[in-house]
Amino acid sequence: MIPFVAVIGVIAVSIGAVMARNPVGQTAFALLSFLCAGGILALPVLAADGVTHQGHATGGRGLAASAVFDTEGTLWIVHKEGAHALVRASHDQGRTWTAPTVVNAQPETIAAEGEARPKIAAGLNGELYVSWTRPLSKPYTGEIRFARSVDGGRTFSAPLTVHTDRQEITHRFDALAVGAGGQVYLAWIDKRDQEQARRDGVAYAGAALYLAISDDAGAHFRGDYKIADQSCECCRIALVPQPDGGLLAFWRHVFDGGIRDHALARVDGDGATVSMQRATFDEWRIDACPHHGPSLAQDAAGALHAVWFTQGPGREGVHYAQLTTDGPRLQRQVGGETAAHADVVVAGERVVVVWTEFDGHSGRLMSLTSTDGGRQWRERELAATEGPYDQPRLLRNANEIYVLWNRADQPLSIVPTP
Amino acid sequence: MRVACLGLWLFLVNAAGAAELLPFDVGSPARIRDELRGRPYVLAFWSVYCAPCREEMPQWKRLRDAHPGLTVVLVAADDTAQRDDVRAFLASHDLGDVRTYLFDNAFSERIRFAVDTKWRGELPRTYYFDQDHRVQSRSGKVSESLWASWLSGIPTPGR
Repeated sequence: MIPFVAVIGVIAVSIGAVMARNPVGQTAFALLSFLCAGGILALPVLAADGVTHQGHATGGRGLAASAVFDTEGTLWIVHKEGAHALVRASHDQGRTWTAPTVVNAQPETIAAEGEARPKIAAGLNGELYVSWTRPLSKPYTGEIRFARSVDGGRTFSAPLTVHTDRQEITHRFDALAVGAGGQVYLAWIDKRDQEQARRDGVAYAGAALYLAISDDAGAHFRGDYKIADQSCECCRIALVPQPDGGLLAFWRHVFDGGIRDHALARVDGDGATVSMQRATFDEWRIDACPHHGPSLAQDAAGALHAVWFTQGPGREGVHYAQLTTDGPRLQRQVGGETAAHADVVVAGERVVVVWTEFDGHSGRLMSLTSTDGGRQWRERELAATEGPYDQPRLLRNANEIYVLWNRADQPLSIVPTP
Repeated sequence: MRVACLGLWLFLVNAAGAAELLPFDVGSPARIRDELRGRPYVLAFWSVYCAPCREEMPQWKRLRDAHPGLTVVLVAADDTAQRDDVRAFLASHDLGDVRTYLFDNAFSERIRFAVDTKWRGELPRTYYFDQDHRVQSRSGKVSESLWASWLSGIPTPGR
């Protein structure tokens, strides 16, 4: 019964998105939803859709989710249902989930597909932070939204827009991180400089990376700090907070000649970019959107473990390397030719990389584990599915490592790593 | 009861949705190829979120007008939730009789695999099939000179 209701709900939401354009359709659909599914799931979501739908699809549930373990070992997940971000908790590593808490009481559009998804992070004192991109009515525009819970996930603050720039332009692909001192960092892809360049009649490749920082557990943000110009336009950004209150950002950049390799920047606690360097050298020259961002993790000794995707000549696929000021070290290909959307995490001596592969029939969740700092690796298959699946995301709970691999046939599924 | 209701839903959806944006599923590449047997065509994938794709949009009707025998098939690799955005963007361009599709479901890996096992999702992604359906492909924008090479039958390196 429950899976059936869930399926009906998903269908209802997506159909609702289509029908909400037309008032007769809305009424007819609402009636049918109520009759057929008892109104359990479909009707409230449709009602929410109906309010917010002004030529912009809010979409259905989608598979794009994020999760995090808090300092007490409780696992939290955020996913989208219609025009709402929902948060659930698990006290058994994802085997069961609590009923959802609605993050945004007022419905709004939430980007949740591919590289875009709601994010969740845990503060040092039990706070929960949620961010997402809210697409605006002009195409490809958006703003970065943020809400927090200071009562253990029972309620969330009304969402705020993180950036001071309120032009109806691109502010998308939010990245959320919490620093060792409790700072909340939100970085995003921003086209204000591209827009200015257009007005000035000057060429401007790509977009820019901006940052906002909160020093009071998400009550207020300061910014907008520009990390760098010329980022690629639609790849996720990797953030690694540093002990000094700054952070590292790792992203796909547009280098001279249209080479879309990666850059690494060190940003201080005041939001100033202290240094920026090219970090990968695959010479992927392309005037296209890869929709395929990198990931970065730092071990106790400070070494930076990176994974990324490239189609550079002779380098097609997912790659791992340690990033150093002298360039990538121990670079190797990860998985086969269909390897995609890798993530990396470090826990103690272990470095774990996960990614997905697809053979035309099944999607497979794969992992590589190294216990010697990235020199030797052991590859495993962790899970498989024959239905649609999301990008995998690694989760760390002290020294245990799990993977959030959301699948249509196993929603909100958490996979342990050996 | 539930099945009947589902049927009624789907009927209403079909009745409500203008059908100019056709669903593109795993069977679509083969169906299009069969239908256009002996005729050249372009199969071009794009997304509303892809700036280079949007910049390419005006070329499709030009290409179509310059080559009356050429069928142009434009496929949005977007989520079905973006249907309104895709429609709105296409409506803002004069595309003539260019055919427009949208990915039919969220299992984009499966659809992409049916198009080309080597395609990793980067956009724009363009395929030119000559009248014998020999295929040339490119990720990223296709330049005027590359179009000229393709259409005159000069082989070019893949990717």
